[in-house]
Amino acid sequence: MGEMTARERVVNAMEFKPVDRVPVFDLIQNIPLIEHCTGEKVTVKNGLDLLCKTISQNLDATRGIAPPVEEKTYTDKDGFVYKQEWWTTWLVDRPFKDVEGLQEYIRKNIEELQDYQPGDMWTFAGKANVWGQGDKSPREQFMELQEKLGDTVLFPSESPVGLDTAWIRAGLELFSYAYADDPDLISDWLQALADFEVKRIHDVADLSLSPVTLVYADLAFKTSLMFSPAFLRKEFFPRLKQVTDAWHSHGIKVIYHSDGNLMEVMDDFVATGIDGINPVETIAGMDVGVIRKKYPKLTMMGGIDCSQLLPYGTEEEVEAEVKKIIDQGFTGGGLLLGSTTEIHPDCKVENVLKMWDTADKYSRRK
Amino acid sequence: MSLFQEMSEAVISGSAKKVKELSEQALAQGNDPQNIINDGLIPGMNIVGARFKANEIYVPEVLISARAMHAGLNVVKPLLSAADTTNKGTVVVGTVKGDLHDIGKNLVCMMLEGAGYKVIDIGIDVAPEQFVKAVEENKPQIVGLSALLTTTMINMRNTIDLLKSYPVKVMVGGAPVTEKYAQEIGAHAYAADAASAVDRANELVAS
Ligand code: B12
Repeated sequence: MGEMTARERVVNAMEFKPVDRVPVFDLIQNIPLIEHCTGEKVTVKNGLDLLCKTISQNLDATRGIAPPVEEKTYTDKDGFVYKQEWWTTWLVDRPFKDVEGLQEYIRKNIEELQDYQPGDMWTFAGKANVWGQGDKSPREQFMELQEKLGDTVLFPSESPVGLDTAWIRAGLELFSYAYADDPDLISDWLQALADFEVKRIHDVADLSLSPVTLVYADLAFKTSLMFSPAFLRKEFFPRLKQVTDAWHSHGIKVIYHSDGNLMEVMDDFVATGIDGINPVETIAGMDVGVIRKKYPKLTMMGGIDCSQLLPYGTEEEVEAEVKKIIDQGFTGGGLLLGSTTEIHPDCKVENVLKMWDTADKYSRRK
Repeated sequence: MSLFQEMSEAVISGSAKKVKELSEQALAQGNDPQNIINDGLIPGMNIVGARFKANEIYVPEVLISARAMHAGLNVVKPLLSAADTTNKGTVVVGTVKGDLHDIGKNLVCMMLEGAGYKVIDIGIDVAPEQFVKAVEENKPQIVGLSALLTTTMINMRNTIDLLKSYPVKVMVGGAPVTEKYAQEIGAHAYAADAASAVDRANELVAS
């Protein structure tokens, strides 16, 4: 089979059609790796270019490209205080301290969400322009990045269902208390977040730009789900379906992202119509072989452990694991191989190179 | 059902209002504040911990139960005289430097509190020196370190090294942490979840 383009490889793999080799996906957040691949020193100024160069050389698909930013703390109009470093934004303070304060904020936020303006998206870090930068339209930003990335598939801005937007903004404690005290208000909030996202999808979705998107809400951790299946069935899965249907109506495939062990509700996920799942956190008990057997048409994206294996493992261990994941998950399609979320700063450069090299050689032979 | 049983049930179902009322009622009936804690509130939280460990309930339910327990504690605590505070011990807990994850740590704090420990939560992104300062100020029996990132686990080791000259036991936890790693860095105990953290703490203060 001739060499395919990255886009052909990704789309065919997700449709279980022939591919020349397993596609590789990742999120690169590792400066030594970028410096190794480009031979140049990373600075805030050249960071984005070098990151994109590294991606275009090595990956078939990527997401969440963050341009370098100086470390800073800022307060938004509602009084949420954020701290931002290159790859991470987190909330350090909130404008409310109790359930009443949160409820008041939610009522205001629902009104804002109902007033959707093209170009905005709503993340846990508030109303943001898609990649958080400048006043260029999402489309312009996308085209600029795509140009730097060559034919590597760039997932359009990630698509939040709203549950983690809500709990991270509220804080899990206050979120839980508020749900116990007034479930309808939280329910209305989650619905407003999902409706907002659906409007945004119809605004930005464009199959010619990208054939796949990543829909997310982190709702599990190492040993279990964060929320009960009953809660998720009432407050989450119907909204995930709404968001998935919106992308599908534009012909765009959906990969759903949540860390952690999702097995307890995998049937519910598959029933929403998603095309794939990420990051398949193996160390949390997600088993590529089991998922492949049970859901023969579900694409898995990820699978190579970034908690222990990539930072602490040997090259031989990485090679063996990549082969195992390909054997178990790649039936000629159905796998976009990569780390279980991101190549973070602690992943060893030689292990990452080994992962890519093995994926290429081993899957071509198959 | 006895009043104390009812109180435990209300903790389990997370009804803060009911726990508060029952605590007031128990006091009015002349019950000793310490008994209200030991026989009403703590048994409820114990069951919550066991159910969480068994994946029968989830993080929000634990948080709501902890809030209910606090509603009771707020009623009875002011009436405890210094003498009859049979605190099981003091624990200083924090998430190590560079790490901002706090949900697991908060759960551990709540379960320890629910088990009768005095808990001093020193927050997230806590430098080894700040742990030392908290130990000097609070003289705890146990220090709990939480880390959720492979990149910040090393700061557990750095903290433990600095705490070596103090008479405290160190307990560690967090998703990437393992029993083996805990031993390597010289921690006295490791727990995989918040309910086991209470068991380990009990063992540490008994030893
Ligand atoms: C929620 C979450 C976040 C939230 C945190 C919100 C908050 N207020 O805490 C946000 C979005 C902010 C976040 C940010 C990041 N995160 Co995060 N996050 C998670 C997630 C999904 C769940 C963690 C959680 O809350 N679990 C729920 C609690 C109940 O579980 P727990 O923390 O494990 O705690 C239990 C036990 O471990 C134990 N325990 C915990 N602490 C202690 C302490 C003691 C003393 C004891 C005895 C026991 C104990 O008891 C607890 C209760 O049973 C995990 C996924 C996962 N698999 O864990 C990723 C995860 C931890 N994050 C990860 C990463 C990489 C990040 C970021 C770097 C991402 C980024 N690039 O921006 C940043 C880091 C920011 C920073 N510097 O800390 C990775 C870590 C990989 C690794 N091993 O290094 C994970 C594993 C996801 C992944 N698969 O890649 N994250």
